Amino acid sequence: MRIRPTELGVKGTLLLAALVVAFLAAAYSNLFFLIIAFCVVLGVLGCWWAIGNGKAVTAKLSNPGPAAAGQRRTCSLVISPRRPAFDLTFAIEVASDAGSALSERHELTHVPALRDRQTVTVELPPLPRGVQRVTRVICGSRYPFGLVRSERDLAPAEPIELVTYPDPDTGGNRRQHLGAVDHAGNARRGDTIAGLREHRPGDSLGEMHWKATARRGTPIVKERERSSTATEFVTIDRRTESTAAFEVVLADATAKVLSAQDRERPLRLVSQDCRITLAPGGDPTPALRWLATAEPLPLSAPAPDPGRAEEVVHA
Amino acid sequence: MRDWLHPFLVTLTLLDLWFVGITGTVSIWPLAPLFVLACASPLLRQLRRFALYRTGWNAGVLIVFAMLVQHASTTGLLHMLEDGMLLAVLCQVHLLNNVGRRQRPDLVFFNSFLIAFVTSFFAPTVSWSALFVIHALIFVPALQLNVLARSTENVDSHLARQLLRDSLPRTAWIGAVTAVVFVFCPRDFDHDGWLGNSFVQRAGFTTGLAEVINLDNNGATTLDDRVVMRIESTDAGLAEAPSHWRGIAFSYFDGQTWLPQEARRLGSRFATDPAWERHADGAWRTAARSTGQLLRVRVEDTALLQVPLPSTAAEMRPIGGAGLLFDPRSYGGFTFFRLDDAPSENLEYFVGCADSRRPHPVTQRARSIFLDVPRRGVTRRARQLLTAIQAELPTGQSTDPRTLARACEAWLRTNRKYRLPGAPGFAGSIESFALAHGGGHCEFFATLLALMLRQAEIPCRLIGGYLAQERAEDGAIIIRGKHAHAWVEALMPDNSWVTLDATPAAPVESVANADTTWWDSLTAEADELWNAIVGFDEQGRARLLGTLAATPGYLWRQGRQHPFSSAALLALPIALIYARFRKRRRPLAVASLLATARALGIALRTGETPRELLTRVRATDAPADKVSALAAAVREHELARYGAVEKSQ
Repeated sequence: MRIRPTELGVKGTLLLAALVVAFLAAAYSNLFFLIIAFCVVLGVLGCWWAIGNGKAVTAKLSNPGPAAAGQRRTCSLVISPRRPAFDLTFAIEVASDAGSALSERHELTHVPALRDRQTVTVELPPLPRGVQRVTRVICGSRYPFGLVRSERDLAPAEPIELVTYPDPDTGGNRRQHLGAVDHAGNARRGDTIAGLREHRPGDSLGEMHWKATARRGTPIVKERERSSTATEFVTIDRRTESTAAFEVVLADATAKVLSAQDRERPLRLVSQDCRITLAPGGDPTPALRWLATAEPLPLSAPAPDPGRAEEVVHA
Repeated sequence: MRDWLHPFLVTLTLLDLWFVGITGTVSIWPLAPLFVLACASPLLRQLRRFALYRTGWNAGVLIVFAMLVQHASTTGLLHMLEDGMLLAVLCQVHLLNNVGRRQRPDLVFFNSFLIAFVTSFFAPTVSWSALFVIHALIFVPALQLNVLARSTENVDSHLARQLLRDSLPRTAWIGAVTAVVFVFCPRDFDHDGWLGNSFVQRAGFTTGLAEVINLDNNGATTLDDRVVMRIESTDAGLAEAPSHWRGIAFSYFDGQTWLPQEARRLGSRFATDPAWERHADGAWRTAARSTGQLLRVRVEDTALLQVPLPSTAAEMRPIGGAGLLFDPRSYGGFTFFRLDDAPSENLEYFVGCADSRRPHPVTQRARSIFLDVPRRGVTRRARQLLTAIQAELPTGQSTDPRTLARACEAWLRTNRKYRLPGAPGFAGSIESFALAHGGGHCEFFATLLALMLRQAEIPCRLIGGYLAQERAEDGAIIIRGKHAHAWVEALMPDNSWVTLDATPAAPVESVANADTTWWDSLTAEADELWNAIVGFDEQGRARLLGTLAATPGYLWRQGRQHPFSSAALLALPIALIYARFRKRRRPLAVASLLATARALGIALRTGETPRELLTRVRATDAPADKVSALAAAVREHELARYGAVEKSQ
């Protein structure tokens, strides 16, 4: 539990100090003493109640799941009061796995009044690529008098890991500039075309329906029926000196993973120290987690063993 | 969205104006427009975006400030504070109408509290206390609303109602704890402070009998509620009991202070009143003949060593006077001395009165002392008043001492107002009182009357004593410290002394009237309570603590005397507390589950169900017996909470 005075509290303390000085300077007066006693009691009970207000609640933050870098993600915060509480502010402190010393604090939500158990949908702030941990859920309150702000750490029931994978959109945009990577379509030419749909990150250029794109003025791709369960391969060679290029490669790979999961195709992600296979419609989190934490390797490092690679993404 | 905080700020501002109003230092004319401007605040705030409007306000405040500074430069510190209060309320209304939403509440809160604080010096009355209670009832929820208003824009009516409900018990707690601190916090009740007399001067005028009367004390009045005397009748009742009980006679006045009548100041060793003689039966008697009715007097406060007696007293018989030495004084009263072996702290005696007061020759030298007047402005003013009164009397009567004395007494009663020091409208000095710049208390009335009589060549003196005006339930007369009074005795040409009381009877009679309404009783009770607070001291605390310490014993005795009614009274709160406790008590199954988990060294996590806890514990290498104990506790818990156990367990 931490207590610190607010601006109003500091001003109030100064006023009280002035009153005490005047009281000591003047001849004794019961009324004067009574007013000072009122001020002191107001302040002390205000602090006491502010602490009690923070202690009156418990909160549980749900695991929000992976999200792209720079994008917000939502999760639910279940708040249970032991007694009615007011003016509660909830925040989280997020530390990256690499350097937990650098934890950042993010305000989640403000609850004006709480009488019963309440579930609040909160939006987590955009985070950079990586794996972060929610180290603390903080409940703060200035209630009842706003003289002090009390803060209490609510330890998460179980460690909450925030997987932030590369933003596939960013990769696509940069790729236009870089133009350094060869992309072969993952789609099978032999599959039956079921229809057309708008382009999504990860769609191959080979699947673009250029005439429809020109007609509608927005990128349109061919939607094919899944006629094959052949595994898609993504092999990432992490040997590079260009961090920007590496990020683009990761973004592209992420797009492939998401696309494969979306189309319920099996996928195999291969790199120097990684070999992850995703079943159709399976949980892509292991692949996304690897993409979130991947780091470039020096050029002297060995090349990845692509196996049966249909696509090799060079970093 | 409605701004719920603003009505509270407006109310605080109106209370501030009221605070200043009850001090009487600012007249209604400057306050009335401020009341209107505060009430119109919701409309005026809409104009805040116009620069002309804001400039007008700022210019207005500056002009008033300049006027007050100019006024303060010509008056004393007291008037500076009074002018400052007008400025403070003007600024408060200015803050309310012009300052932005974020800064306004803090400033209004602080300014409001300061105004309440400063006005407590000027009007430490029960009205102020009532206003302060209302102020606290508004102040606390306003602070709470301010907290929420800063965090969220959506303070709806439901939330506001919740806050108000929440604020009431908090306010009550603050009041209760403040009362406890006030009673029990150790402090020096007599400290003078670093600034000494500059504040001491305003710090107290306590009602009571004094050996010297100083008229320059205009501090706040403390009405002393301690019982000084108790008068009972031995036979026929107290209907004819004298109202004025003489304590000390004052003969010499220097313009500010009255000094007691003593032989060395009179320049004569002859008494001015009938002499007392001690008889063989232990009684003191004068030459006058007592009517036979005896009053039994018990003096509780003997600090001044005076024996209060009516002016017609003809007999004084001490009760159990062992260890007491009585010394008759020249003005017809007694002082007494207590020997070390005196058995009692109190003084008791019988008093017998004569039908009238017997004349007694007064020496010419003493007469000249009773005609002495100070060379002060007030004397000249008294002369002017006397001339005016004489002019109104019919020809021939203006020189008759008795008629003139009664005319002066009646004129003062009609044309001057009774005000206690520190109260609104108090004159502050005898000069201001003579000029009708304010009201005064009994010493002012008696002094001005004495000066007028002495200007008319009527010898007179001022008497300090008590006015019998309160009856106890058993019919006895109770005299308290606050019943101390001052009046005048004028010497007539036939050497008889006439009692003249120029103090208006209204305030006295309103207290003395037994046929009071419930409102009178209520306000009297409130006054008494407030006086006890304002006059609280070491002795008061000792008395209160003594009462508190004696309460358990008293309740125990009462309980033994009335066992059935006491048991019924005791059972009611116990039942209420038990019902509340039962409502809140944690179910046994939950308590058992938590205790078992504690024994295992595992705490239930936030949001974790008992079954999840059991699964978690089973996954660890906890001892089997403890796991089975936890499983049993979980089963009991589910039985208690849901009435059945899940089959999967």
